[in-house]
Amino acid sequence: MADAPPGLDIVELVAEHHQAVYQYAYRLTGSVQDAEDLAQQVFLIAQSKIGQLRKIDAAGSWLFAILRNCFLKDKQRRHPGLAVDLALNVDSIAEATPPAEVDHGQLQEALNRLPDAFRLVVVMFYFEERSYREIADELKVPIGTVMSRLARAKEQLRSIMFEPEQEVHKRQPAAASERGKS
Amino acid sequence: MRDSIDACLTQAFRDVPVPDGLVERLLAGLAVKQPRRSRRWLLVGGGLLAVAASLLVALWLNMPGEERFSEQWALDEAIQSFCTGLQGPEYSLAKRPAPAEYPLSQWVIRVHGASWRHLDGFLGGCGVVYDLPGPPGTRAALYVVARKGIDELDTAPTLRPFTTANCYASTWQEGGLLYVLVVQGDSSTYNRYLNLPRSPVA
Repeated sequence: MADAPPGLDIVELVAEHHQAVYQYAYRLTGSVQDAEDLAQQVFLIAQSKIGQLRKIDAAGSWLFAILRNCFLKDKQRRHPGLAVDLALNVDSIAEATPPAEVDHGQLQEALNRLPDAFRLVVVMFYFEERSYREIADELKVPIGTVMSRLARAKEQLRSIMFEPEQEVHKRQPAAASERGKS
Repeated sequence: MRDSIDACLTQAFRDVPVPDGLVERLLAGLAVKQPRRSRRWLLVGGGLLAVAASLLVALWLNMPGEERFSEQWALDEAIQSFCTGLQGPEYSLAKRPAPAEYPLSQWVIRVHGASWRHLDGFLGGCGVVYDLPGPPGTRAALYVVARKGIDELDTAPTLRPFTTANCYASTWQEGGLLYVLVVQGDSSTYNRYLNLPRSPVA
């Protein structure tokens, strides 16, 4: 097994980062069991490659990068050729007021409805608070792709989270053109 | 630009309850010695796991001191290195030949403007990485390392490469060396780097 940076071992890594890794995994997978399995996979890889971790400060983002790779690989194996289409009207992103409290079930449901590529970008943006450029660099995609995916994903999240009435209309094809009027 | 809804969502994204006993289960899965607070069943389970893992390791390792090789490990490490950016001094192949013990593969085309760098610690060994320029928006790297325990690998790159994060990668062995080709672009870009005979190794 590779050597860890001085002052860091896998037990410490798990103790310090298990919460964030699990939460990240949960937002990506939408399932308690899958999130725990993914977190386990991440720490197994981290254990075998801990020698690659040069700085203790970078442990969090290093683990997140492993997590994203595992998630994408798993998705690739299960569904080769990820569908990344999200048919939404980007121009109709409405101004909305955040509610006092977010409904977490609704948030996860909205996330689960996003295609994987969109969900990954949105989780990196909100959970990791990464910039467009950082996301583009990490995922090796053009920044325009990141912006477009984020815009579409945000619109869907907002329409479900903050504009529930519109969401109801959206599900009815005849009312689809009503979106964005408010 | 982040607005008030973004701020609200940022907070909500991190607000995920963590299941009880997660740390213990994760550590048991890693088969490492666990700190206090473990339940008896967990200790028993952890112990059994550790014994099973030891048996597996003993069966799998036929070369003491040699880390077990897997194709996926090679691909992961190469893609991670490629995405992070190649490190170390770069030498133009035209001006300074690469070390003869780490030659370019016969299965990869010769690219004008190629360069190389020393690799240290890649897959636990030393070698060379060739930087192979391509059309705008694409790039490729060929990792060459001396590594034992690669009997199970193909002897030429596959036409069905592993793909993730806009990268296509395959690994093979040739002349006692391990090769990993990583290409950024699409599958046709990947294929353009290959110099395979008419009957492809698929």
